[in-house]
Amino acid sequence: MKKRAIFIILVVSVVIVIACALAIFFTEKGKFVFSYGKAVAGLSANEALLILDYGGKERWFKGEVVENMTAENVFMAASSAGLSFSDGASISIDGFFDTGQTKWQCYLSGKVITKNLSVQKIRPKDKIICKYQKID
Amino acid sequence: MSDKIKKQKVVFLAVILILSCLFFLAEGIAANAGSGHNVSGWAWSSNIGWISFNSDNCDPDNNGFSNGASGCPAAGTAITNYGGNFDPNTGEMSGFAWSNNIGWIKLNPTSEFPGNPAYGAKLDKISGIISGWIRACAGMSGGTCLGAARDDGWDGWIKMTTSGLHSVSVGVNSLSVSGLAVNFIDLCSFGLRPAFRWNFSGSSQCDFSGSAWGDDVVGWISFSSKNFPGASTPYGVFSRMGGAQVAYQVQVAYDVGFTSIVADSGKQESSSNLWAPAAPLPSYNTTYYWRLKAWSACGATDWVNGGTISAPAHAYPVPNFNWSPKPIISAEPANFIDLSVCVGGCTGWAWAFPGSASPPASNAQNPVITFSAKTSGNATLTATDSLGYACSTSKNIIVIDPLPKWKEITPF
Repeated sequence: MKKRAIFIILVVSVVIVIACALAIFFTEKGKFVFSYGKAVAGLSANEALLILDYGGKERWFKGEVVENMTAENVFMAASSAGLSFSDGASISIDGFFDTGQTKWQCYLSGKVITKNLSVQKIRPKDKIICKYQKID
Repeated sequence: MSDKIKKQKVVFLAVILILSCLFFLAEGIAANAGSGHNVSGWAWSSNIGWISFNSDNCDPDNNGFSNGASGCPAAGTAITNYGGNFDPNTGEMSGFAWSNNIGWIKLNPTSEFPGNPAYGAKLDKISGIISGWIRACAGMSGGTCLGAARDDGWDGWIKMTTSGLHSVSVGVNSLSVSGLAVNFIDLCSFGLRPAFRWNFSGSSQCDFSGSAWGDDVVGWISFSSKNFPGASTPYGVFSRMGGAQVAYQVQVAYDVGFTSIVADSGKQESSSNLWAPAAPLPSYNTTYYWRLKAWSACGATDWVNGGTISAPAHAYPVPNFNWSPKPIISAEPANFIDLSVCVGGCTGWAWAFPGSASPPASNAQNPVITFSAKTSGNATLTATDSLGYACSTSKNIIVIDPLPKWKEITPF
């Protein structure tokens, strides 16, 4: 009886471990999912988070959100902390700009931002993640 | 038991008889009741003489007694109020006419038509032709206007229009249009899209013309002495159904002879006094001619020339602008960029900004504006070209508080 209970506990544990591993492996933003948990804990009620992933290197910014603030305003606000940003025909961040092979792709709380950054409204507790990634 | 059945049959027949009498009585009341019939005057048949279409022909003072005029009952004879009616909406006739020789003539018989069309007298408001049938009640068994045809061969039917050559129609007595005007609705928003306006007035009296035909007893019925030029006694049937417009047609052409038409409303069955074509006129720097034709229930006007409308030399400006940043940040400069399109290039810009803008207005092409406080409102740009054509556009802008300073943090 005791052996059977231990066996069940072992099986359940293995299943949970495998499920977590699959989630991390198949979720492209799995890394960020875990990061979010920590990040949320580090944000005050009216703050939002900006994460830039240059591919091997990351820069994180946080700050206050004001009424009608847009994603473009977030970059402008972060520029006061040394971020170089321009949003003309294409986005350029810290000298990384859109090319035929790579481009900046931004997400708002896990969803791809399809609007222009100048019209995408931002709310407190939002997490903006921009990845410099290869074009599929 | 059989006595009881007989009694029931008698009661049943009595009820039917009473109901029939009531129905006939009601029909009789309908024939004679009411005033305000809108058809009046006299028709003439060489076989049966005068046919009166309204009791006011013989009782003009409406005292209920005949004045004894020609075609009327003897003076002092009690006379009921009767007449014909046109429904101004459907054109259907109703009511009764009266002949001293054959009695009532029903204008809206409803069944047992001897041929097509299978309906009572009805006016086509566009063509002015009255088709269908009327029926002398004397042509029916008992002269009740309800029974079956007599058995001596005369059924009382009178056909209003027998062919294109023999028809009864209602013509125009006096129709007119006035106040013809045209303007471009909005050259900035709709380009060369004009709106044509007019006023319509028509005589309240529409004259009948032509002749109807009834086999056997009646023969030809002439609805107007104009059918016989030089007739010694003028007569005619007419309607007072009103002169309201029931249709119109507007045409626009390059030439005054209207041989080169560029827009045509077609005949629109409408009382509207306004027409705007769905598509703009084709060319700038062009003079167009326009004309109007309108119909009342009686008939149509001739084409009435509306004059000309001159298109401007070229298209009006298409104002447009953008700005950055979005939203605008208070206390920081905002760049407004003119994107207007003018034929030959824009020559003037007039900006107006909302709220705490400094300056609140500008004539620069691409002004730089600073807002001192957050606000939301319309910024307006009016662009002008070399000929002075000017158009405006407004866009809502949002000005937010100064941006907070964000800080970089160590990734967790």
